[in-house]
Amino acid sequence: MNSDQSQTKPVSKKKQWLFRCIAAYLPLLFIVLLEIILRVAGYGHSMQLFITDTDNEEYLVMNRFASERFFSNPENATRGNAERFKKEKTPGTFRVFVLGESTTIGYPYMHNGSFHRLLQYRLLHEYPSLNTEIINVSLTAVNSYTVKEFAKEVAVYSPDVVMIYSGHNEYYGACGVGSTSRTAGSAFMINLMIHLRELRVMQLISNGIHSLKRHDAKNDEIDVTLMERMAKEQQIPYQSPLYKKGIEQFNRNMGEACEVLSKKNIPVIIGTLVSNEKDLAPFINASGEGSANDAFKKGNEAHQHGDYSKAKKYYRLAKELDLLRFRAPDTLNSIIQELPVKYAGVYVADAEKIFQQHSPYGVIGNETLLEHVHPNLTGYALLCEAFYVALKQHQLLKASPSQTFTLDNLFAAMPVTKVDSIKGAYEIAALKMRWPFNQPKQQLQVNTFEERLASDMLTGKVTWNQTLDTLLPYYEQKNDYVNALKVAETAMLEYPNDATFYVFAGKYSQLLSKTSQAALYLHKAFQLQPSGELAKELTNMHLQSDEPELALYYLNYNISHSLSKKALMNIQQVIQQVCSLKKAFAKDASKNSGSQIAMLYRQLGYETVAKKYQ
Amino acid sequence: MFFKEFWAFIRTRKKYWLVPLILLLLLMGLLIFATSGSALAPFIYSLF
Repeated sequence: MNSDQSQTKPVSKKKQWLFRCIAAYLPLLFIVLLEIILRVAGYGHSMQLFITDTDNEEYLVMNRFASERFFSNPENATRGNAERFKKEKTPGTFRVFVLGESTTIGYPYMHNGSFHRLLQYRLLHEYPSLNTEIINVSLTAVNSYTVKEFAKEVAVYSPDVVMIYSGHNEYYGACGVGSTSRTAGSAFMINLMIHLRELRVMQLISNGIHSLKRHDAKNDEIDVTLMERMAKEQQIPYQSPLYKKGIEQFNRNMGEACEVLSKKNIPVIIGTLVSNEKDLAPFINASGEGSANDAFKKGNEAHQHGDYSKAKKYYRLAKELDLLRFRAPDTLNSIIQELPVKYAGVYVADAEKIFQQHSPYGVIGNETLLEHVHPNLTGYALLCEAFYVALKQHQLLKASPSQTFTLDNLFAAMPVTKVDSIKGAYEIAALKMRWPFNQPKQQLQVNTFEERLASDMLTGKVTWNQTLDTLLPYYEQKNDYVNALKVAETAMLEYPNDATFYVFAGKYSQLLSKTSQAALYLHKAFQLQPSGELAKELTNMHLQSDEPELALYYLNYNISHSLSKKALMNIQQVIQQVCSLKKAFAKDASKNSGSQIAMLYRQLGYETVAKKYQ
Repeated sequence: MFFKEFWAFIRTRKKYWLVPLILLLLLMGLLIFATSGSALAPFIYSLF
């Protein structure tokens, strides 16, 4: 019928072109329609960085699918932390976003081993009244492409500082020049694909391709020989075109990330990268004189002869010549050092320098690192120190600290449970048995209660939360308050908005006679969830510590919330007298104000403090 | 051979409007293929 009409009624040339244009746009219309249908039908998912927290709509949390933008196969996409923060930033909040890779997320310790949690712990002790939000959006196996994209997204949520530690995955991480050889490192293609993956149509095509691939794949039984053969294709010689592309990629992406944040006046701290120099032989070696192994051998010889600067030079050369680029080239640190020159408000956390200062003869090795790049707990504390120093040095935290919490304090406290520490060791032992370390298989020691729990956690029999639930009563039963405190502090850092864990940590601190720390934790719990019981406890603790002004603050809370006001007001009067007498005593200790203070403390039932003034 | 026959089919049936649609889908597929990671990627990812 239509063809008959067209035969009888010829279409004008103008119309013919119009119809051709419409026909040309038909596929686009088709894609748009398909996209709408897929979205309405609920197919696929959003890949934006933050989504509303399902537990509390006032909060945002990292989207577990945000990583899929960077991985060609969604099955390989890694998942990040789920650290909540308020949609509307509360006044007086110090908000920090942390971007980066596996070291930044705290591998292999994850919960609390990471430098950001140690920093959170440190700032909690120094600024107990400050609402600190440190949100880590790092992912394992990603590189500067992810940092750049996430930097654009976090900038919207009014951060006070953005911290970045990234660079070791530049070649083989998701979208890296070494893992996307088909595009020959084309930034245009990769950026286009990162954005297109947001489309449900692309997700549909991609899922289709990968489900077909899954049917064919027999990767489960991949052997070492095949791995080695594949690895050969991944070799990136020093100064080769691919090597240079990796450098360009890092320079371009980090520059873009800094530019976005700098334009919005958001301070950025970027850490220099730390690699194992002396205790890691090159992964893949080119044979002959001037090879990576040759340099490493010369480094060892110089180290044995006590010529440490020469040894360091050769170890670094060995790292540069290593054909498997799992450690960032030195050039990346030079790029990082130059970023503050190019962009205002960008600062460097010189982690490499701090690691050198804490390594024997300045040569970085197993004292601070577990393998090629991941720090041990000492190393993570040092990484925390690097960012802490930069934060202080550039006065990015305006509040005044109530006390100083030094690196030594951090080493002594280390809020990481034994189980987390053991699990980290197990993870590394398992890692080293695989390619490219290929160390001989060893039986893991699983004897103690903590070792059994760590092993169960590793095999997925128990979750991290279940482990904490098991550990707390176990240590309590054994009156092991040192370890019970670590469990409580671990939970406190994981759930910083839950008052319960601060109360627990306060209780164990009290049992360990750490009165000021107990007061700090209970104060934090009171800030989050004020209660008469906590106010009473804090009044008592501050009187015991001869801090009547602080005691008065909590007593006043109980007066305004209690029915038995009269009795409390009598105590209030006595404490007020103590406060004024203390002022007089501070001016002139020779007057009899001291004995009057002692008398009043005695009246309140604080004999130990009373003795102080006699 | 296949493409030749397919082109003949389009020409005979005058289904030229299908060409941009097929090209677009081909481009998308090609982009997915070109930006996909190497076979070694999953093993490398587990290292960091």
